[in-house]
Amino acid sequence: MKCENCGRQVGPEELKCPHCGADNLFALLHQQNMEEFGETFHQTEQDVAASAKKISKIGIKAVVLMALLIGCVVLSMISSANYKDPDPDEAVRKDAVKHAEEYSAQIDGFLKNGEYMECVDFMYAHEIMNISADEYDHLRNIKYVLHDYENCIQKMEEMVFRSTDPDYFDSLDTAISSFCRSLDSFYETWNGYVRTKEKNADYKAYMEDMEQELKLAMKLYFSLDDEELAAFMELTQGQKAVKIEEVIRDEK
Amino acid sequence: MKNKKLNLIFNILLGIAGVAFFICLILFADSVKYKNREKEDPAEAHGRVFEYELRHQAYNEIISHYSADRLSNFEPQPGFEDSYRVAQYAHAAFMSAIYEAEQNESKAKRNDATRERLKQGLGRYSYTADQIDEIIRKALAK
Repeated sequence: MKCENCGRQVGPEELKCPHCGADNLFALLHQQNMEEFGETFHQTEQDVAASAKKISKIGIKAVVLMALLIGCVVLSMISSANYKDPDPDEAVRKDAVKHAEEYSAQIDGFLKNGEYMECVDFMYAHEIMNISADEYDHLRNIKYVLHDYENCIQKMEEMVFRSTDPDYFDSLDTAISSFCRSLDSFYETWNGYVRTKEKNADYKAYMEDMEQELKLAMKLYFSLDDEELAAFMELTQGQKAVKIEEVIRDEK
Repeated sequence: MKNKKLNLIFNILLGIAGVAFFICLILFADSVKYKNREKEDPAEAHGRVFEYELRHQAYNEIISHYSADRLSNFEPQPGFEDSYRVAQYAHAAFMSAIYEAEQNESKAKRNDATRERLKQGLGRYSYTADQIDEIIRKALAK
């Protein structure tokens, strides 16, 4: 570029002409601009750095928050797994389905021998009472009758064998009320299956045998004759309980 | 201004998450303790209860425990054999009179055989068979 004063060559960054000493306006303006740009750049640089610092703080917080949340979820899952006891019945149910033929034969054996309590215990222990597998579908109805029969007999046994030790807890009332409920439940189920359903024909004899045994048990252990038993059966649960307690406690 | 608000929200969330994490940590520690807890030997506890019930002639309780346990264990677990035999003998004794009244010879015969077998297996608890027989005799005499 040329000096505006002497017309000789001047460098673009030379503030004065090296020949005549006149000011190089272009270079001066350039320098001024550069200084302004420098300040602006510095300011912007500081602003960006400050902003980035703030944002990075929030970012760290966000990461920590996320880590805490993930930690909560993971710990909860592990805790839940630790608290959960393994389900032992799962394997038993699988075993029952696997050995359905063998177990069904055993159940038939118990029924034929009139070993109904054994039968119920066997069915419970092998989860046959609680599974709805096709393999055991034929037992669907009798298992409820068996269940109620077992409850009745067991509660009667508990009444008969109760401790007479005055220092021992007397659980007779509980056994009696439980028996009365089970007895009603037995007849409700029994009546439904024995009288109305032909498909229970295979098991009808066992159901009738169970009812016969229950009646005999009541006659023998509650000191009832046929008429008294018929009258007893007509009573409500509460009245039955009172009657049984009178007999068992010898208060008649 | 916007950053301040965001910062405040994050602080609150961090506080909540921190408390939740702490609770989870306590639960986790407890769950580890639960998982590694010393499991009581069921036979030992059962044996103590059985002896206590025998002292009080609480055969009803022996029957009740037997019935509850047998729902899971058709065959007795180790240490449960004696209580199973006593409860089964009580059941057989209870059913004897019923089979007799029913005049069902095959059931009565099978039951008598079971009763005898159980009686032989009672060992040091053989006295319980006499007590059970006596209870049945009294109950039927009413």
